[in-house]
Formats: sequence, structure tokens, C-alpha cells
Amino acid sequence: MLKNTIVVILLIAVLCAVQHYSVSHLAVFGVYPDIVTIYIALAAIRHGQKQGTSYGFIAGIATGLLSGNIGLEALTKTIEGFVAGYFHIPEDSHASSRQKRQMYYKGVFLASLFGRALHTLMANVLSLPVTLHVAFSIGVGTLLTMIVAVIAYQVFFKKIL
Amino acid sequence: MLKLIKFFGNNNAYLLLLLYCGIAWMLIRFEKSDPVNNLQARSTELRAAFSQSLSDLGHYFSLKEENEKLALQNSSLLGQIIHKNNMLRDSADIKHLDEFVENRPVKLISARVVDRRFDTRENILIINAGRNQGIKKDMAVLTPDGLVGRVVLVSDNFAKVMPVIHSEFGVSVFSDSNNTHGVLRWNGKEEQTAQMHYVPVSSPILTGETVHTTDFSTFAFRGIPVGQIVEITPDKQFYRINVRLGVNFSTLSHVLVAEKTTDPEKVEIIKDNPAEGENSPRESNP
Repeated sequence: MLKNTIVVILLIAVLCAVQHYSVSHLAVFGVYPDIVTIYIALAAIRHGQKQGTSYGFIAGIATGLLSGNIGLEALTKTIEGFVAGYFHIPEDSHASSRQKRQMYYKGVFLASLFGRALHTLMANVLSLPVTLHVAFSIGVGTLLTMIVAVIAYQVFFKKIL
Repeated sequence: MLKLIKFFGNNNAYLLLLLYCGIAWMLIRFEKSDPVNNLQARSTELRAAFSQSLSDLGHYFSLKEENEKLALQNSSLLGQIIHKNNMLRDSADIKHLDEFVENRPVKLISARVVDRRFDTRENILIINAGRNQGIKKDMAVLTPDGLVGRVVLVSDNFAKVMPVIHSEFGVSVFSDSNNTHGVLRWNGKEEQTAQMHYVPVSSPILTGETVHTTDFSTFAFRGIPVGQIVEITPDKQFYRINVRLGVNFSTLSHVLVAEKTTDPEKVEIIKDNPAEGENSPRESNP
């Protein structure tokens, strides 16, 4: 249990660094996918809502230290972990691989949508350029994250879920 | 504390969510307090040090190109110096100008951009000069092409710069040929275009004029070029003016940092009359 937690936290730290130094430079019209969200959602689906919420908070602090918005990032990622936790698949579950895949996609999608919406609205609360811009940021951000989530599932997560 | 966290963890995910959201909210609420500010400054320092190592590696491979660019810039600056020196020699007021320059020197500190982030969420630059190099909060950052931004956070060896293309940035500007004043802001759309606000439709402003910073600015000294007016559209009371920025942010690598030396008498009189100018357009001061 402790070993698993340490591994997850280390992975979160590595993914936060990769997100900040690599993925955020691959922006499409200023929006980019969020691999930390994908991993938080996966952890919440595998380990449960409480663990997902805690991992989300830790990931938020790490992301915040890198980006400069500690509070906002901690709040966003905590909510992401909590939302994805609703799609928790217990270890003794008899769900088919198709059902597990669906739970994973739903978890990542809703976590990303909630996280993006909260982040965009709070970060732009004083200077909303246009409503369309906010919708674009949330919509395209979630879409890009989902594309990476599908690829990640096919390549890595299919075996562990 | 551990027992408390364990209690929350064992009992309810909602309580855990409430606890974490509470901590996050406190961090947002006290973002400007000293402990959180120090933590952010240290994380910026750490992040910038790592970015600098990566950037140094990248620079090694682009040294030739950079040298060519610097040589070109040097020749351009040398040309300007010779031209200015000739003008000074020919001027009848040379003595007066010398006195003026000696009395109001502009100290410029050079720095390199070691990290940048331009997206729809946050636009920031990190430069490799900080408190130890003489950088202070609210200094102006510029290049020979124009104004880059304003220093908003300083650590020992690095500083965070809010660029002109940030939705919270604002600076007082005037046009060169007819001294029309306004406030320059960025609307978050095109990277190379900002907007000049509060210019009445009665002003004789023209397309193609260059805009510079004014003495009203709280951080920039007068005369820093900002950009060129490219489009003027009359509205009800004011013009809608688009300004093409002089600085190309996508290729920005070296900057100069300058401190505005405001006359203490001016600061004193502003302090004495705080109500004055409250309704007039002002720069943002994040």
C-alpha cells in the first residue's frame, strides 16, 4: 500500500515536470492536453475516490509550484481527482474490458471538463476576453486531453486496468 | 495532524474534498502574503535554474545564429551612436544636453530570457537577472525594438516579467507627431497587436504614427518605443486604435531592464493629492 502510494506520487512529480517542460510547449492555438489530469483520473479509477482526491491535491501543489498558481492548481486538480473517483473500478470487479474502458473514458472526460472549466473561469475572472474564448479553451483543452487519453489507454493502460 | 488526515480519509471522501479545497482556497486567498509569495519566489528560482540549464544546452547549438544576430544588432547600434554623436556635436545646446544626460542617467541591466509561457491561460517571461543584479519589482523591461513588459516578481537571481501581451498589463503612451495620449492594453487576441484606449474622436491621430511611453507611467521612463498605429476606427466617444507592437515576442531572447527614476517631489505631490485623477484612465498595477 505504502509502496504503491510512493510510486504514484513519484509518477505524479515526473508527469508534472513533463507537462510543464514539454507538453505545454505543444500548444494548439494556445491550448494543450493535460497528461497530469489523465494520470489523476486513472489513479482515482483504480484506487478510489479518496485516494484520487488526495493524489489530485498533491499533483495540484506540484503543478502550482511549477506554474506559480499553487492555490488554483491545487483546487482544480483536487476536484479532478474527486470527479474521476465516481468511476472507481474495485479490484474484485467483474466488469468486462469494454466496461472498464468506458469507465476510464468517462472519468478522464468529466475530470478534464470540470478541471478546465474551473481553471479557465477562475483564472480569467477579472479579464474574460470573450465568452467564445472561454468555451474554446475548455472545449479544445478537453478534446486534446481525450485524444491523448485514448492513445495512452491503447498503449499503456489497457494492460493495467 | 496525521491522525486528523487519517480520520478524514477513513470516514468520507466529501470531508477529504472539503479539507483539500479549504487548503487550496486559503492558498488562493493569501496568495499575496509573505509566506506564499516566498514559496512562489523559491519555486520560480528552482524552475528558472532548471530552465536555464535546458536553455543553455539549446543555446550551444544556436550560437552561430545568435552571434550573427548580435553582430547585426551591434552594427545597427553603432550606426545610431555615430548619428546621435554627430547631432550632438552640431547642436548649439550641447552643453545643456550633456548636463541633462548626466543628471538623469538611465541605468540599463541586460538579461537573457530563460523561460517563457505564451498561451491563453498565462503569459509570462522569466529572465536570468534578479535582486543580486539590481533588479527590483516594477522595473521596465525593453529591447531596442520597444517595450517588453514590467517586472512583477523578483528572486535572488531571476525575475518574472509580465509582458505587454498580458490581459492585465497597461501602460500610458503618446503618439510621436501630435502628442495624443492614451492607455495601451492587449485584448488577448493577436500576439503582435495591442489596443490604445481613451483617445477622443476629436484627436488628430493618424495611422503610421509611432507610440512611446509617457512620463505618466508608474514604471517606464518617457520615450520607450512601443509600436506603430496600424488601424483607427471611430466609435461613440473614443477611437478604437490597433497598435502593431515593436517587439516580436516569439523570437525574444535578450532584454534590457531599466529603473524609472521618478523625481521625489512628484511622488510627494501625488501622495498629497490621492483624489486627483481618480476618474482618469490609469495604468494597471497588479
